[in-house]
Amino acid sequence: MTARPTVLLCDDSRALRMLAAQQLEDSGYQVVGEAGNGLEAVGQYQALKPDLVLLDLVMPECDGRQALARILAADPQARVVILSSLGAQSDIEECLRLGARSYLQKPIDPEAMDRVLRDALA
Amino acid sequence: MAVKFLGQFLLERGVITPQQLLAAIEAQRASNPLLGELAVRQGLLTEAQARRINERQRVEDRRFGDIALEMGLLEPAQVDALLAAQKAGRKLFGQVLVEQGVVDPQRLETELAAHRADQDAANHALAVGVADHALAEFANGAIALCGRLFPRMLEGQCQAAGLASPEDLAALPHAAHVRIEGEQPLFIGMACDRDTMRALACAFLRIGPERCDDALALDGLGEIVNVLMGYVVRNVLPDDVQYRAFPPDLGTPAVQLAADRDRSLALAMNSQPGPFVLLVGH
Repeated sequence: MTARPTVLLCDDSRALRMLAAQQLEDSGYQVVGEAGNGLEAVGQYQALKPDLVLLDLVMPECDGRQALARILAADPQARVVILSSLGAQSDIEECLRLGARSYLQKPIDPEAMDRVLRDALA
Repeated sequence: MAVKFLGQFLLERGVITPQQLLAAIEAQRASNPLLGELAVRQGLLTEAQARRINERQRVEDRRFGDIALEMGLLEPAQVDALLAAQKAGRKLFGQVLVEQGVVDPQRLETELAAHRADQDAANHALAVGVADHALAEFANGAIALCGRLFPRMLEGQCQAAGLASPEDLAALPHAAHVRIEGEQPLFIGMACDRDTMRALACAFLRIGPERCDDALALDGLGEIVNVLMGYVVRNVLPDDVQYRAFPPDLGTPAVQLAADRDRSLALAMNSQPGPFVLLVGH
């Protein structure tokens, strides 16, 4: 584990990625890659093998649930935290059953994010 | 006729200039500290603690004092004392204008009466326009949500100004909406001009305008609507309702979204970042 945990940030919104990246850096994480849809997320994960993945649930071209399944199929040890503002409770529950470590509600509260990510890393 | 902030009302009537408006807003902001600012000034909280509570407010849509109590950072008596101090020191906008010598007290009273009459008429027109609509409850909920969230998320006030006309919508080139499909299909959207779009996005992202191009601003608008819809879904829909959510749509014009007036409502909103139209529908 590196001194600063590495994070792959996956959200179709550049604005959200900008905001989250700043919050992550401020909290001591290193954003090593970004993805704008689920397909990019899967590809980036395989290329970067980050410590953590922050994965938006609602994205075009392969949503978060599908991307989660593919990432975990390739690496069952992947630590993925779901991001959601619109996700139905059933979708979140399904992602947790699939193997996501936790989920964060948008807009992201930095303190909650840090707590959730540290738990996911443990 | 529309509901307007007092400052906007006075500006449009030629009672104050834009410079006087800005000066009064700044003076009012300085004399009306947020609860967190007051707690820091009194040494009850550190700045970091106040920031933590503010961040949770953005997410949880709850009062500062309630969160501080839950986090064990303030005692109930301290919260009560802070609220009392905040209320005692609060200055109304008109009061600031008088103190700054911009208007005399008698003129202020006349203008306040006119503003109140204007507000009452506009609120009545809005209520009548919405009341019989199938989306009335949803619309009123969305308006109230904006009123609560804007100060916390975008550091500015927001209030409904009236119903927006098709002409109003045609003049707003930038629109973002989010829809959900399923048992209770809904959409919620915001439409605005370029200046408001950029101001909203910069407030949401907490960046200066020099870092925000139009594409990022529109994206930011989409994320604001995304957040609004998230709250609507959690507050309005039953937990077990089945629905499918879609990413923000940044390309559908507001006129098109509000074309079917039986299935949509377009609400003119005033906010400190700028005026916009809140669109709700199914």
